[in-house]
Amino acid sequence: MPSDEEFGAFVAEVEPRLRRALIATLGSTDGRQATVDALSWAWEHWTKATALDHPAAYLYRVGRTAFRRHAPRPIPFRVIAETAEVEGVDPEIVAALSALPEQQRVTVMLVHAFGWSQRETATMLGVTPSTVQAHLARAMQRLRSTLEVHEDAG
Amino acid sequence: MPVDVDEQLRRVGDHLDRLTPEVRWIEVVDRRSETVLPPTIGALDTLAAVEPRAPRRSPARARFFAAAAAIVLAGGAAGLSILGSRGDGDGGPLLATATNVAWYATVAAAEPDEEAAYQACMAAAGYDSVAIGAPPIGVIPAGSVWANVDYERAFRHCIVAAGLGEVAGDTPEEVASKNATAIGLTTCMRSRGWDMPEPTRHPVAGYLVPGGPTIPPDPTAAAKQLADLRACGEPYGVDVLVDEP
Repeated sequence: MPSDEEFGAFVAEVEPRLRRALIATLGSTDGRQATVDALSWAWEHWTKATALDHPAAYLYRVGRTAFRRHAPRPIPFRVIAETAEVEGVDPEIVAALSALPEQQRVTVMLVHAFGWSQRETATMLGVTPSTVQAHLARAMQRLRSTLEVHEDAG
Repeated sequence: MPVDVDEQLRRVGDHLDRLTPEVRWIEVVDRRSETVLPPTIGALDTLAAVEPRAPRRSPARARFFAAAAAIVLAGGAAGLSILGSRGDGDGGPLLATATNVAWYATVAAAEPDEEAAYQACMAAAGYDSVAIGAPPIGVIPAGSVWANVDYERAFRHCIVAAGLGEVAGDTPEEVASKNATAIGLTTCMRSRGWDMPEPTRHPVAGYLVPGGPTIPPDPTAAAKQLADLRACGEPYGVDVLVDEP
């Protein structure tokens, strides 16, 4: 088992990125709980966790898996409720985000909402940078076209 | 005016960041055994997460409750009580406790003196804790401090003693009994070949709640499933009642 200092340092390094990636995937409440689950896993499997090249990326999958074990069907992205009445956030963007396929939504959230580079996003999601680029392009196209349609209609 | 998608996404990200506090590592040392109790990960502000929230729905449960009959597991000796709401679409509670809310803690964000009082109380009980951790909402990880009855008892006592919140309901032993029922029932049904989802932790009460099995469309198989459910519940004093539509 790790010492308090070791695990504290590990959490400090991994947690911010892990939490944001899981929030982008599951929404804030479930994403945070999945972060706790994933970090608990790391504590229990310390030797394996420290041997990983990209521990945050591995723990992201651990957190997702732990969550999906309890909610196996796709759930509506909870950002809908969480951002429904936030000043300065257009409700249309929230609805458009939640209508995106999960991979596109997570990618666009990490890059455009949380400011990650495409390479960082690819590492976390375990895909190639070109896949990230493709998801981003499709997601932004869909978001813009959805919002433009609504603007035109309005 | 056209919507600035990039700016809107940044605002969504900022909002979610503000909404989701950092997860911190909290070490708890049991001074009697000089051991670190694993793993308590949380933060002061996570205590708000003990508040009720919408239960998670699984396909199995959705099918289960969409079926014409709902199975009501009425508490027997183990005190388990789960009431399924039928055909409720996306509204209404999926799981509602009819009689037993095991325990809950509502804790406001702690002031420094309250946190100090909590830590002093926990220290008196034999636990050095650098902060206040909240029980996990999901299933308790193996070896978690929240599976430690003594720790949970001290937590419940100290939350109240420090004026941080209130705790009500069942004792840790009763919670442990309900947890054993949920795990036993699930294991038994699986051993009989039924697809049972993992038990989930009640978001308010804290104990494990068994998932509902998918009711097979074939009436003969459904009757067999019900018989198995009753047989599996019997050792735990759980009566399985069928609430006809």
